[in-house]
Amino acid sequence: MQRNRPPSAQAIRVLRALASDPSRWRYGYDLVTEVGLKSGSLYPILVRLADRGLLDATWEPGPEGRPPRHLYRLSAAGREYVAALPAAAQPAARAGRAGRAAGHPHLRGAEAS
Amino acid sequence: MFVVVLLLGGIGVALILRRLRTAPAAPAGGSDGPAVPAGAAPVGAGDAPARLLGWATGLLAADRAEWGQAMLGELDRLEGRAPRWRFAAGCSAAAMILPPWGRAAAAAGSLAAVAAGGLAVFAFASIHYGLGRSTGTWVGAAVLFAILAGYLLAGGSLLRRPGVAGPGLAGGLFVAAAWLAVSGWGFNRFLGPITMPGALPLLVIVVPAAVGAGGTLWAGSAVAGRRVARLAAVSAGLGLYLYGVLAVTAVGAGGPPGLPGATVAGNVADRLGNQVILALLVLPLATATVGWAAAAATARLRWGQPEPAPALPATGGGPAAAAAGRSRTAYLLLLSATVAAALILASVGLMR
Repeated sequence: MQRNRPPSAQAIRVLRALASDPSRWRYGYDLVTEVGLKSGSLYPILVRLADRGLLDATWEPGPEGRPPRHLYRLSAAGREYVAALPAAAQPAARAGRAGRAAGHPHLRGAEAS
Repeated sequence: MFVVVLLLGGIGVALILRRLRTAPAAPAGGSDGPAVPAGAAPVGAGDAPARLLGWATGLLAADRAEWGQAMLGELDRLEGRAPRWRFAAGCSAAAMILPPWGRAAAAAGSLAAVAAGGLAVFAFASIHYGLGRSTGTWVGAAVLFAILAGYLLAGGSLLRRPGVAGPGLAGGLFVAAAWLAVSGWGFNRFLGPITMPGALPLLVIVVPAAVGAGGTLWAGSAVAGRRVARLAAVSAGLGLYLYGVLAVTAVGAGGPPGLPGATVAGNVADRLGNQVILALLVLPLATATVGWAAAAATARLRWGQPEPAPALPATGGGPAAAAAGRSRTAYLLLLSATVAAALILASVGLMR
């Protein structure tokens, strides 16, 4: 049985950042810089969000001989979840969006769960 | 001193052999790293951050492996030494603790409890016998804390490897039981000198070699056998250290003769230091290095290579067969050197 504990403040920041442009796929490092979290904090959050079905993930094939990259965006359930979050968490999300980097590749990969 | 030189020499030989064996275009993470997707570069074969992360992501459970690949793919695109190190260090820490741990969690918790117990008893003895007044005691306590933390980190990593926890912990019990049986089970006898003839080669050669060989045959590969030996070293070291500091705390300056002319505090401090040297340095070093060599030699002798070979059509020799023959010769030489060292140590022990 999976326990769905309330998300941490850091997880809410990640959710808000993803919700700022829910159709856009993001790289993990972009989220590191956008939300201001360490990589060691971000990835466990992404894992938990994906386990709860709040996140879609897909692979972007790498250039020849390079490893693929993982990309993330909110799932439909994730968008509903963020919409239901209390407004008190929004200032942190706005602060996170201030440092958002622009420009992401057009993706051809299929969504993965 | 001779034992330490022997063990350090063994480490050197092992590292040289490993480097020679893995040098030609093999991933630096070796078989410890995660599977690389088809068509992708060997992502563990890059710089130090990539190797660190490649090793750490190999600890992830099978159903988390893709997250390890995600971290490695992201690191591959990062430029700059500092950002790469920061990213790799953070992701490595996350990979090392990311659940699920399964049954390894209970074993890691037990190791942590034993290590914490050892530290707590050391602290109690230091206060009870009035050792905490000098700078040296605090430095020693800091070093002890670092060693115990390092062992816990190593033990936790090893416990997460498939097929290592059971034989590794069993090997640790075997090693600890052998040291206790040879030293003497009671606190007083444990703190006294080891008088059994041939005890030294038995403890630093025969028992570790048995663990390495047994672990290899149990787990089915030299890689797993080496991990079994390392886990046995860590678990036995932590367990015996706890036993040792309990013995020192209970016996104090009594029991077997201590340092001549020393105060009670001096004798207790000396005995506490001896527990660190024996249980946290000599025992783990001997078990890990000799077990490493025994694991490699066992796999070579049993299968002719580190892993059981799948059925392949005969190739009729060639360069690969010649290289395998040279590698087998090297391992036989290493095994012979280990046996020779054991015989020398046994002779020295019997002549005393």
